Amino acid sequence: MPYASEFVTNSLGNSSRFLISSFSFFIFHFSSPWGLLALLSVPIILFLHFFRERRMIRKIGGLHLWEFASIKLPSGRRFDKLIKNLPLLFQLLAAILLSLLIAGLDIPQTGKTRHYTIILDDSLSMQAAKENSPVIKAKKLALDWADKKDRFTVIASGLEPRVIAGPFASSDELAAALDKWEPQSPRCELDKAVNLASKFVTGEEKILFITDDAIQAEPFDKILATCALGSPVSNSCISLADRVRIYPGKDKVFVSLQVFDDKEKEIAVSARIQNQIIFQEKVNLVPDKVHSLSFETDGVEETLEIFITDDDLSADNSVILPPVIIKPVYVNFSGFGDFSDYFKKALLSVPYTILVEEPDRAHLVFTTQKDFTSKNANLRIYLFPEAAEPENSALAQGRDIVFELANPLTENLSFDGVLWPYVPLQFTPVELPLISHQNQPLLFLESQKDILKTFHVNLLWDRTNIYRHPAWPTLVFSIVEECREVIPGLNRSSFRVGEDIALGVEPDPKRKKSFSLVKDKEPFAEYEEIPAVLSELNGGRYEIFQEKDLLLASFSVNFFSPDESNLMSLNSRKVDLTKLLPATLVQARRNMLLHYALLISILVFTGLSWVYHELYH
Amino acid sequence: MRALVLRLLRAHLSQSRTDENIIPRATFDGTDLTLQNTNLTYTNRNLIEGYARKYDILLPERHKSFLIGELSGKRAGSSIEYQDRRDYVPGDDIRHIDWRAFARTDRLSVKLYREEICPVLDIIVDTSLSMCVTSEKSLRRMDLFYLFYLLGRKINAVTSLFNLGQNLQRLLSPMDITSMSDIRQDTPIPLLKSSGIARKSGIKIIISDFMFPFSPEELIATFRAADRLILIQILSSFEDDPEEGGFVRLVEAENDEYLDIALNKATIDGYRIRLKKLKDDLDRQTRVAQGAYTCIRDLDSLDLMIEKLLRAKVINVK
Repeated sequence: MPYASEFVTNSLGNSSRFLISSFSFFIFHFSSPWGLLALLSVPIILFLHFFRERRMIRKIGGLHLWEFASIKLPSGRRFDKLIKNLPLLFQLLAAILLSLLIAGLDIPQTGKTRHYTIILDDSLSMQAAKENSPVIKAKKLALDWADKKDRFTVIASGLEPRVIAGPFASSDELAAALDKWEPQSPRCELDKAVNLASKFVTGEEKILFITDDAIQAEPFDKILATCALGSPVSNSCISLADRVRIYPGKDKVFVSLQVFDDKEKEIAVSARIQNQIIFQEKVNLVPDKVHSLSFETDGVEETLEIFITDDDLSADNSVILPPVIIKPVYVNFSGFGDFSDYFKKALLSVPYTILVEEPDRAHLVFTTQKDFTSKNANLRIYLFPEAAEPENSALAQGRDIVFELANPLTENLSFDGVLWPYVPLQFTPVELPLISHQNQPLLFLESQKDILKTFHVNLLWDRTNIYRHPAWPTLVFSIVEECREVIPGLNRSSFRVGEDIALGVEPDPKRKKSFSLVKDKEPFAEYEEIPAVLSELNGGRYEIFQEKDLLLASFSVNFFSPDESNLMSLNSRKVDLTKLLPATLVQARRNMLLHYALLISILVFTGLSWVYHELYH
Repeated sequence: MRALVLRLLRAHLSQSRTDENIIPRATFDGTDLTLQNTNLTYTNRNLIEGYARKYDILLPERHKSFLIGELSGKRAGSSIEYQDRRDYVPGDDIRHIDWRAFARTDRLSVKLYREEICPVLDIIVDTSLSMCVTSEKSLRRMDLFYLFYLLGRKINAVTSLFNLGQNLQRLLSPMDITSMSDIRQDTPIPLLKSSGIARKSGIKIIISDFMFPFSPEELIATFRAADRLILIQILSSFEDDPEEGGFVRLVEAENDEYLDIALNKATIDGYRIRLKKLKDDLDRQTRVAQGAYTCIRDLDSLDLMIEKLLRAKVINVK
């Protein structure tokens, strides 16, 4: 039974302490020091013995008939009585021992053992070569080497390091953790894992790193003892695939393929919808060259699966592409008079944008009404000033216009040649400036209240030439797309492994807050609140349900990591495991003998207290 | 006419005694009972008077020196009521020789007349502090005292009331003990021995808890001159039948001495054995002396109290 407190002493004799959750006094050890508060029962018992009315008084005649039963009470002063009062003494002893038991009194039994820290390469390439994969070799190596008496801390190094066994796990716990271990990460972020592992090592101890590629460990040679178990393997993969809606009822699918080999390789690419092959093509892949192909499909509402000829690494040979998610943006604009056509042209050039007459229905509103209000919760409002007298306005031109923030709305825009007439000092500087002129006049500002954002565009519409500038349709496109992203729901249906997935879905408020994530039709996780972002998901098809039957979102995660698919760089390196210089672990185990002795003593003293109480009284 | 003469004679004789105790001697007929101190609170008064109407005190079959009275005795006596005749033996009153029969039969025979007696009743009540350990015990003592007082009056007995406290004092009325301060006593036997009451004949009724240190034989012997000795023991429920409990300090009501005891089974069993021996001794000794003994518990109902008195042949149905 592992004890709460364990000490590690390195080969130099220095010691440091881990998992401090207890309190030590001399050789005694208390696992729950607060339990000593139970000692307060001692004065309470004394108080009761001092002050309680010990005997009921009864007046009778014929006292001589009772003389045979007279009790000889302790004589002397009250303190003497107390000392001689055996039941009280036994009660006090029982209370003290019980307090010590609650406080977890222990004189720990200590024993020395060695502690090893191990980092396992958690990248997918460890699964290459199937029956003879590095992961199988790693498991065998670790289990053959691990001594029953030793302790282990095992860290899997993927995108984020995670402790899969320990800290200070036994060999059985190590075996169980290795049995469950399946490398899935798109890459091995070794520096993070080393940073975590170094917290468990002391002195000269070296961390055992088991990988399939020793080269990545070279920067950490001083602290790592690297054991590489890989060997170069030919591999081909789908390095990228996506589908887009080219027009209603028709999707276009793009696929990129790569081969990692010394020579050309011919593979078959297939696509199927519900087990029906809709596309098939043989491709001759050339090393170090990406081969792309595309095809169109009418099955816009169906999930599409693309796969290539299987090889030693299966995870990168297939891709799942769910139906494209379309979120139309409803736009309303008003108050621009003759210039409305410029707006209309720019807006209609953005796909899935619908112009509406009623501002209440619109996600996105362009208006010159200063006090614009709407019953609907519009997501974005762009507020332009009404026309001003020429003498009251100023002008910003082209390169004088400054982009304040790296905002998606203004990213990659050039306003060369743009005339930007504005009303000076129209806005207070409270809002977040996006575009300004020489830091003084605020031209384009953002203010936010919850999810609703209002953009103040200090642009006198009737005197600008911006709508004739090439930046204009790009700006409008960015505005619409930025609005589209905040419309509830997923923006994409296909993600890559390691990518953070912003869900953005809105649950049904009338239903219970019970959410489940299903992977490939199997329950994967349960949530009480729908997570804003899902991260570190492995490849597969995912669905999120509310109350297990209301589908909120559906998406797939595919393994697109050409670097990881390149198995030609895998190599091997042997390591001398005897030179790991493991830390000496002074391990404390609970002294169960003391525990039982305390328990029995409490029972004995309680019993004696009762017996003496009966005898005396 | 004869009855009138006898009544006057008895009145004269009793007057000589009432000079001492001044007890009203009106005939008890259930209506004319008058008592002093009637303003005292005594809740069972009417009930006790009801019982007194219903029952009689049981008189002894033999008596040593009852006064001549109107109550018929069980022996032959000197009344005018003819009972029987028998052969003359020397020493018989020659006035009762039936000369007519002698003339007829040549045998000397004497006429026997029914005895007419006037019982003497001495009621001694224990007024020590132990009789008041519970209010019920005190009340039951009052009940019994008053009952015997009424029964004595009912038979026109020469009734004397005594309270047995620090001294043996005569009382004028049974109600006096309600206002009387209870007095400490240790053991009353020497007091009884030294008083004249014990040496006189008559019916002696002692109402006490008998929880003082004494020898029953000695007590009975003290009253060997009595025609009938009636011992009524009153005990509180705890004294009669204690129950197991915790840790108790028993305080002697008489002198505040105390004992700390644990009311466990062993203690209670030991006490019960001792109490039973006391009761058995009292019962046996009074039976030997042709007397009666019973034990009344303070929580006994009045009906149960009467039933116990009937069973002990202290009283009988009218």
